[in-house]
Amino acid sequence: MDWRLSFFPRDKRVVIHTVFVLLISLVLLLAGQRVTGFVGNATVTLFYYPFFKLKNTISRLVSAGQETRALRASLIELSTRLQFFNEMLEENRRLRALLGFVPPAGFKIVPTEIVRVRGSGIPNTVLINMGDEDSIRVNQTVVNRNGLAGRVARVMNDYSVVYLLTEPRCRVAARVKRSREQGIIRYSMIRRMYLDNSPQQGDVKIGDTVITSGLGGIFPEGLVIGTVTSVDSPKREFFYNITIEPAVNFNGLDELYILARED
Amino acid sequence: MRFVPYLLYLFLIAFYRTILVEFFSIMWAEIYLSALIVLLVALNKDCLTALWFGFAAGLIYDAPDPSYLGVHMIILAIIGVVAARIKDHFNLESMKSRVLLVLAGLFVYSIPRLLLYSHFGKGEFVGIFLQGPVLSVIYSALIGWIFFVMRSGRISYKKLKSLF
Repeated sequence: MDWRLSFFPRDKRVVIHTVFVLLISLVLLLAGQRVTGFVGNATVTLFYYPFFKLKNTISRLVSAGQETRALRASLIELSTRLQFFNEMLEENRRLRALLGFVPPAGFKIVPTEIVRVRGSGIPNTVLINMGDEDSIRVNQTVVNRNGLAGRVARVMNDYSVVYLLTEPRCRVAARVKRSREQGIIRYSMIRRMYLDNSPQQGDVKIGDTVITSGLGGIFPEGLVIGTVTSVDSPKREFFYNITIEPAVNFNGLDELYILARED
Repeated sequence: MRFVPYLLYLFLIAFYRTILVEFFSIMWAEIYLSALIVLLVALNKDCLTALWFGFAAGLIYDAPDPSYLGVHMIILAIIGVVAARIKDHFNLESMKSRVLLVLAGLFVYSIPRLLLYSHFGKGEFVGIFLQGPVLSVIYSALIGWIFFVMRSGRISYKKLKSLF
């Protein structure tokens, strides 16, 4: 028998089913939009709906991830800018405070920047970015907006070394602002800052402001040094033990100003 | 219970059309999954099963675009029944012959599909056919071949694992 004839199924069931399937398909193909729409919708609801929902969820997750990345980037950018603005705000505050700082008569303020800080525990020496070429001289007074910070100890071409009040070699002739009692400001690792050489007969109280006396010829008169935090009167001793809380925060030094004589 | 695997195949077609097609398409080539599954069913089951499964797969394929509802049902039902008949008539048992049948079936499937869904001018048919459908047919047949190889046990998870 020719194979072409035997290829077609002899089983009538197959023929009937095939004809039936083709008829349904043709009917659906030629049917109106109403019928095809109904069949299509029913099939989509049954088979596609969970996957559509899954796809939407994935899309939402992907877009949420992209949004999160974008937000993170802008958050970093904004926090960086915020830090920058905070720095500017702080600088603005410092400069405003400086505007209110009136240097002693015959002196002008020369702003300078700290290059390096030295000292164990509390800083006692700093390197500033101005030197001989900027007309900086040894023993010029160094202040910040809160008060006396120290003096210039060594001058190089472009840099200078400043002894802060926390350096034991830096001593300041001082007086109590209220009672005009005099003494010498010293610093030691054990006693911290104290007012030495102040006789026990003098009038010194806790909370008194200590300022430079101008004696000694190095520091001009009237610069704030600190506040008296304790006054002890040891027996058999002539002088008080007076502890001073410095006006300048030596751990948080940012800008320093040199008081240069006006020529 | 005997309908469960076929239902799963239909869900797989819906899943592929909805989500997987984006991940498995390479350039212009996509996997003709509905036709491939119909051919695989035809190679493993009888004529009637292949016929009705082709009809159902066509329905699932056409459902999102009801204006063409019926086209894929006819094409896939005919491909299913013809492939099953060829398999029975020529007693195809070797892998090569089965892959060849799958390849031929996919080619047959791709032509009316291209005629229906693509718009092209005079003389553009061959160019478009070579660009998209031929690559898709080869890609789909490759997937079919991998299925046969894995089914025959030549490639298995254990063997692959032993390589690495």
